[in-house]
Amino acid sequence: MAKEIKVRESADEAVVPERVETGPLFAPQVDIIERAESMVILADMPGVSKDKVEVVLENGVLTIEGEVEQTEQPGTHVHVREYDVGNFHRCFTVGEGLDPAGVEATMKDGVLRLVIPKTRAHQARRIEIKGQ
Amino acid sequence: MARWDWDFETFDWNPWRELARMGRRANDLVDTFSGNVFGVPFPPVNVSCDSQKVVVTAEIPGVKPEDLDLSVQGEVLTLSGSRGPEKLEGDERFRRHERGHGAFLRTVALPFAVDGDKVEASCVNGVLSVSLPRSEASRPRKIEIKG
Repeated sequence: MAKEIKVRESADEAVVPERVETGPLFAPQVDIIERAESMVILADMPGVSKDKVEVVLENGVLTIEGEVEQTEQPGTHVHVREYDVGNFHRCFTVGEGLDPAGVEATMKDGVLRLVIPKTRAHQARRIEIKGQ
Repeated sequence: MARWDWDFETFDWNPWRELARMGRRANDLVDTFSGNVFGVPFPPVNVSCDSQKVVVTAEIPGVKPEDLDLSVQGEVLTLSGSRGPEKLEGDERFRRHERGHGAFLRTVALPFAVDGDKVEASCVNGVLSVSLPRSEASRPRKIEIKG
């Protein structure tokens, strides 16, 4: 059984840090899928284009950030406002089990997809059974 | 017999509430989206307008254009579609599953009637933006007062 990689967030909830800039900041909703050799993280960040995404995996902490353009048009009257537009930020503590060197990141239709390979020590290994 | 709306409260049954509840249930038959963002059904929408047009925006990350259906009639815009869950293969497991998936249906009431033939919609980075120009018939008219 592979050593389980626990993906934990500081204090077990999405951390929105203290910031100097103004404006709303949101934690994107994520799906985390564990495969035998890698972890897949999908994050919903609508309005974020490919060049406005930043992903950092350092010292066992994975940070996902996305910047959104504010598209409020002056001179229009807001009739219904069910969601606010703001930048995205979320951190996860993943420990030593993930390898930053092999990360594959794609951004499509506002969904960030990260495939992060596990380090060799944490991969499931087939055990060969010797015998006759 | 109850004469006013609030008379119903004494009987603890309000037929208007029943009708509203039936309307929501009808929506629920189609709308099985599993996750609610911001406490509203998926997708959350913003509606803004000026005197010439209404602009409706909705956040639909991960929804492909072919899975989205948009139609407008009079003062109602209907938005429906689906977003499939990630298909897991082999021994893959969800460690965390926050993103909603499933079919969704929303009707958005518009502040005035729009011209269905001139509607433009685009979807960039998972944000749907629909621009609906006001219909001629619903344009306000100045009334001349004779006298």
